[in-house]
Amino acid sequence: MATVAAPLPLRAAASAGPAPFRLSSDDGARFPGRLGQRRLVAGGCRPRESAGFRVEALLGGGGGGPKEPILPPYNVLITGSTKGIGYALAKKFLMAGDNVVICSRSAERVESATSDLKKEFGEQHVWGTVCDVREGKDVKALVDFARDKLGYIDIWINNAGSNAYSFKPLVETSDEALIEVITTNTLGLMLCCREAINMMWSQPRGGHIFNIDGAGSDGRPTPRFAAYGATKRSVVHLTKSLQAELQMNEVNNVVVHNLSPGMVTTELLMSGATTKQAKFFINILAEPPEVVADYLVPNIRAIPTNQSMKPTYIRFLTGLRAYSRIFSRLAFGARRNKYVAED
Amino acid sequence: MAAAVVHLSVHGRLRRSPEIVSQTCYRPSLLRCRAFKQETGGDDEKPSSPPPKRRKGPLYKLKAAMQGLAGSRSAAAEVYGGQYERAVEKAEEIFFSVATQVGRYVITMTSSGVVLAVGFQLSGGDSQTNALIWYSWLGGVIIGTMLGANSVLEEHCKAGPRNVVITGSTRGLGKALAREFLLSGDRVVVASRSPESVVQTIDELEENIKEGLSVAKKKQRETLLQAKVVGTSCDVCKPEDVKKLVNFAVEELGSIDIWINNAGTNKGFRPLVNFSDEDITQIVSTNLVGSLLCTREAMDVMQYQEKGGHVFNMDGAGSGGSSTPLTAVYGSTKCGLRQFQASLMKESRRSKVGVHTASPGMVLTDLLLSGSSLQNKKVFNIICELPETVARTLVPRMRVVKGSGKAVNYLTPPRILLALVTAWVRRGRWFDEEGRAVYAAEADRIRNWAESRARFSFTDAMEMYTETTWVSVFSLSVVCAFIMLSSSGGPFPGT
Repeated sequence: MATVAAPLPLRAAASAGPAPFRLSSDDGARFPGRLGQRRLVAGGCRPRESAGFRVEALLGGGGGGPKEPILPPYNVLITGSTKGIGYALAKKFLMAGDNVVICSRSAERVESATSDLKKEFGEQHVWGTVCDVREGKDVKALVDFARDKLGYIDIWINNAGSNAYSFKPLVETSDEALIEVITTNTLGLMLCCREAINMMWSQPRGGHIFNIDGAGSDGRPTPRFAAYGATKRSVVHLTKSLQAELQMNEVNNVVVHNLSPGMVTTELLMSGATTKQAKFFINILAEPPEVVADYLVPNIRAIPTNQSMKPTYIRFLTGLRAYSRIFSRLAFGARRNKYVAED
Repeated sequence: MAAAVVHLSVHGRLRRSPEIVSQTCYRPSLLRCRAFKQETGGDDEKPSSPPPKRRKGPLYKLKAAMQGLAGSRSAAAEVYGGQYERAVEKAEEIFFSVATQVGRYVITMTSSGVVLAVGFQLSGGDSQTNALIWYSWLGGVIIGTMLGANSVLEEHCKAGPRNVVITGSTRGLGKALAREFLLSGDRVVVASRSPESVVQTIDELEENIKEGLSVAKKKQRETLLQAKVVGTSCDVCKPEDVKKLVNFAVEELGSIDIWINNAGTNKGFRPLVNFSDEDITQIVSTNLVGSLLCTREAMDVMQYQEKGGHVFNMDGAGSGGSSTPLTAVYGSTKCGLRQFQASLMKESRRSKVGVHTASPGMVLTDLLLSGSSLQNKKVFNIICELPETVARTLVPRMRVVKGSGKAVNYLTPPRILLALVTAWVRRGRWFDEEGRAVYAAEADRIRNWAESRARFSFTDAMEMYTETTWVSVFSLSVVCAFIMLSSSGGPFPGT
């Protein structure tokens, strides 16, 4: 069955099972000069060129040129990093001695976050800029900013996400909320991924991109925030497709990973703590951003340290951890009223 | 797929087990008679099982021949006048229903017979196992009869026009769906971004209705006369446009029964880095923002309607979760939509609005063909279908959909099987060796519309059985397999 649906199943039946989407290698017509160009640009360290060159360069990127190993300190870029988990991650990276670029939509918050971090870790480790990930030109400006300040980026974390801070059935959701959720989580992520790949394949060191997932990534339903769940499911799918795409085009110096922080007690989650069920699970499963970052950052840093080029899915809240917590809650009443009063 | 099978098997087992337990005190021979009585009671005719087995083939051929005759005869019938034609029509109708019933009966009996025979072969004459097989068989028959009766009732209920809104319906599959709904006597609102193409599409579809009327028989004519097509321009990613569309539909038709989110775009096949900002924005806003906004507005209207309503979201590559390189953006929006659908089902569990998915498989439209290579086209030959063919299968199922969370698929296992088996014959079906299209343009295809609609299709015949018979036969065989496994697990280690 899978063999039937395998090639190009645009609108393929769901029942057709796993259908890896592959254009055959005969597809050279769509990538003119594929073989020849690979030789031409084998250096892999060609600076960014006009859009017309992108295909050829992408195909040849990292195709065997002198590849530098990624060594610490790493240059890290985190989107949406002036509060919540992004801020916690930035702090942890700085503690590990890395250089960090932070950004967010609001100039005010960027200003205050940058000055706070600079006070703590010194002037030469942290940079901040305003960037709305929904705007293509903002993301391009962000790349230019990072290149200007740091020269290259080793780790790019797509953290910016929104739920419009509303938990309501779809029918009651406003236009603005829907559009904001989708444009930030899906469109913003796609633009960031595109620019990040574009930037990284031309770096001799290559790079790692991390996409942060969220509720709904595993395909489980997310009633009361259907739009958010749908966008987060599409994040995981985008990562998967990009991995396949990069592999297909033999780009082996850029890797796209998934990152799952689990439930974090940020504004985004706490604004939904209105029902009994939600409070129950928040108390049991959620953790403050610092705890999550404590776990994630060493794991993220381990990937370039080990020179690993395999796609990974780093999870904070694994199934085992979640179930053991639910068990201890039910058995011993642990973590009752930990963050929010339940009764 | 695997998950679904497991799920089904568990259900089958659970459903059957109480019967097995409660009725073990009866003698198997007695039950056998009861089982036959049950089965014949459910059907209208009561032929003993051997004769129809032989009659089935000729019956179908005869039926097909008669339909062929009916098609070519229509001109002559006009000359001869009504009476003869009506008599033949009536005879044909009765004959067809008889044939259908007999065919159904035969298929059920033979397949369950095969399962039973295999069961007995495997049980090795153990009387207790044999009894269990008979009980499970009886259970299968009862469930099958119930499902069959249900579908017959449904067929009676489905009369009456539906009010349908289809987004992105001036091209490709959307247009084909609109046409098929119209020919089923429904009232359709077409919508698309460009006002000119909406006007043009309405003209074309009205022309189609007229043509349909000219060849329609009496009964069909009545339903066709109710058909009506209206349209307005609507950009699905603009909230105010969607609201306008909803208001327009309610004003024109009074209510909305079926809403199909068909608008979707892809922008060619290439790596993500080569997509421009505008392309990405447009794909995301049409596929994801558009579907969400439309679904919300449709649900908002439907929940206050007495009869409720149904919303369909179109599946695409990536819906199943498999990766889609070179169409990363399209794939991930479609994947997100599937998750959205799951959330909605939970949210709207108690509401009158049903949310469903429709999966057209691979359709020969611009969406698929933009940027496909020669190699792809060879595969398209085997598995692709014309939009009209797909619409013809999807629309009847969409019209009678009930509840929530149903999936209306074109590429069902029998169809895939058929495509695989006949792959050799299908080689040059749509594209020749050099990849040039050999199929007729849309206008020509529509000209032959009435004829192709009447033609008897083998896959349709197979489809007829899927929902009722296959389910019961399948669950029956699963139960048998379960019994086999559990009973063989006992004695073997001991001996």
